[in-house]
Amino acid sequence: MRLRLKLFSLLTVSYLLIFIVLQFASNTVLLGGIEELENSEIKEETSRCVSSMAKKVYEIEEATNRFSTYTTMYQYIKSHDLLSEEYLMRSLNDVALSEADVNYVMLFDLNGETILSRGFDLIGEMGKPVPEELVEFFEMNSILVVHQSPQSSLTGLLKTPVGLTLISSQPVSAGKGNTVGTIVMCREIDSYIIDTIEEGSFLSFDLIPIINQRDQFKYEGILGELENSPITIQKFDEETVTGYAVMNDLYGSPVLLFKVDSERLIHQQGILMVNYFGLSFVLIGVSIGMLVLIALNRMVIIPLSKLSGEVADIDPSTIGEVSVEIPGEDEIANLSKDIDRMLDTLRDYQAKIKDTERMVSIGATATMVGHDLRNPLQVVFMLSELIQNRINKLEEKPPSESELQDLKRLTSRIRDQAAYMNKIVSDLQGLTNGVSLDIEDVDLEELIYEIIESVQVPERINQKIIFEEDFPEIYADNAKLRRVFTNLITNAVQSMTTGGELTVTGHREGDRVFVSVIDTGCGIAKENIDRIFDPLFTTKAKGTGLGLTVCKRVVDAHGGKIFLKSHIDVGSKFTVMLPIVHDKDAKYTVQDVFIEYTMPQAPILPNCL
Amino acid sequence: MAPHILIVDDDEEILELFKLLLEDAGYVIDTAICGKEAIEKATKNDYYLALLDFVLPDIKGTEIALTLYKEKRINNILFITGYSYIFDFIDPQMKNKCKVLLKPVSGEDLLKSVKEALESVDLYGAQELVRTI
Repeated sequence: MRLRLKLFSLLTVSYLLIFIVLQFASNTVLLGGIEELENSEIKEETSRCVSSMAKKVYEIEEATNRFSTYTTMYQYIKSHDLLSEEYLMRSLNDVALSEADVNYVMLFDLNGETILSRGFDLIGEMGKPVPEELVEFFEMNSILVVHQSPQSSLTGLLKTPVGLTLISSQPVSAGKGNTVGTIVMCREIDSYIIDTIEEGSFLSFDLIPIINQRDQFKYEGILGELENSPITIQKFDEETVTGYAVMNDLYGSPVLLFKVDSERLIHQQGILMVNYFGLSFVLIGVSIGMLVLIALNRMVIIPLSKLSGEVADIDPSTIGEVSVEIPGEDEIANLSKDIDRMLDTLRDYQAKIKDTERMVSIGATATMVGHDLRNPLQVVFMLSELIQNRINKLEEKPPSESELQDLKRLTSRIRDQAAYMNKIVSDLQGLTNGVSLDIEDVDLEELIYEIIESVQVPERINQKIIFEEDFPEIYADNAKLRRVFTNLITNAVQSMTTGGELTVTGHREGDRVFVSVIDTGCGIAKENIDRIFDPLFTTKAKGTGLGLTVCKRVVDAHGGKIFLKSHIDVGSKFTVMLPIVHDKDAKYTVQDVFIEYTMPQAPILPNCL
Repeated sequence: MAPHILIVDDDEEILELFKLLLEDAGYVIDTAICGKEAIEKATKNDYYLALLDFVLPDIKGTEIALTLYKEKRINNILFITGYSYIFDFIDPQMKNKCKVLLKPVSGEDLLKSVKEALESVDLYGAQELVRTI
């Protein structure tokens, strides 16, 4: 689970880092590029507007130049007569003005006096008079209409009383080398001309005349910027980008502002693209992350937790047949195989240890047999020698009654020794063989009375048997429990060499019974309490060291326990706890059972009685 | 006066039978059932020889032997035991003062060993093992 969390955090953190870097990159690089693209686009559009206007300037200059070469015009300015005026009017008619796309044509003599003026309403397509103030304007500004050389020419924007006007002023010489006057053609900057330019450039834009102080003030900022660069771009919002350019009049001051509005399509597409990119990155990242997590979960975490669980489940009882192998070739599969190999090695060692234990146990048993069987053997040896001696004497004279009795006593002592040796061998077998129980109803109280009867408690020992009134029958192996309690009671009796009190109590607690055997004998030394249930441990001259070991094994097999309280020179209390209903399914394993004992606290007998 | 011998064994029956055998042979016998009693008796009385079991409830036979030897009570010991590895427990300085008989030992062998032990103190090395049967 923790590994899962770590992987999840790792994936999330790395994903977030990549996301931040990519988002930053897309915002700076991508949006930067888009902005540049947008700027160059609007610059191009603006310059197209400006060049459309410049084309108009060129056109009016061309038209004026054409008219200035007309001989009829030359003649007319020179002569002022009606005939030449009639000739002139033929070529300077409404159609010609309309074709030249001019509003006004004016002719001036060398002194700057007006000779002729004609107007044409380009929208209404008919002639109209030239406004008085315009004529006066030109007469006042004679510098515009008085040319010093036949080649000089003035074309450009000009603020006039009729508004901002495109004018072209050229000397009339008809190619004869001398100038007779000046022709001035004007074109008002009206909505019509803007339409024309728009049509020509396929653009939508505004032309803003800067006529008075107010206009100047209003566009001060843009005009200031335009002093440094020919085209200025402004973006007020996400929708529109505006390009500005300016055109100067003949005096060099800015008079016409080009304002080209363009939808920020590229910018919007760019933003959209970046957003889609981010969104798709999030979606793809989340789905890939989940896929990776699922894959990691399947490939790593699930096999790992399975392996870990299986390894955790291994204990001494299951190690025999267990295998944790996971099929495959990856590291986890290899790990599982390695663990299997390790288990094999462990099993080998376990088997070896078992062998060693068996050998040690055989050695200990041999030692025990060596000692314990040799004492009775010694007795048998000497008794038989003694009997032999007596029998030898019998050959000399027939035995008396007392001598016969003596011989019988001696032979019965040999039988006793044989019985003792038999007990040693039985105990040994009981220890080495497994404990199998023969279950029946057992009345423990009755059993205790029978045992006390059979062990023949000496006179010097007082006995008390105290069982609760409702002490139940239990479900157990009668013969084996007889052995257990015989052993405990015999031990108790043997510990009281100089007399004392033997007490056996029985009581019930829930679904268990407790039977205690209490003596006031010599007690068990502290250092021996730990070893009292060990096989072959004994403090008695004729002990095999097997009695208590067998007791413990029988009680363990019943699912019970033996408790011990003892104090040297005060006495001992062995308590056997047994379940009333024997659990038939309870597994008998020696490893599960341990001896509980309490270190004695003197005096203990008031407690135990 | 017949030589006094102390027999120490935790098996009463063995004590009784050894005593019977040796008294029949004319020795004066004292018995002790544990190490404590053995040392008490050896301190009080003079013995020519001690027959010691190895495994006793309180003190090991070899330790009794060493104690008696150091207190110059007895330096003539005969171990009678079922443990063949008793040699590992015999103190090196005791090796020449004692002999080991392994149980079960026949009455004849026992008498012979007792006799030899009484005749010649320090004659037997502990390494010399007389084993019957």
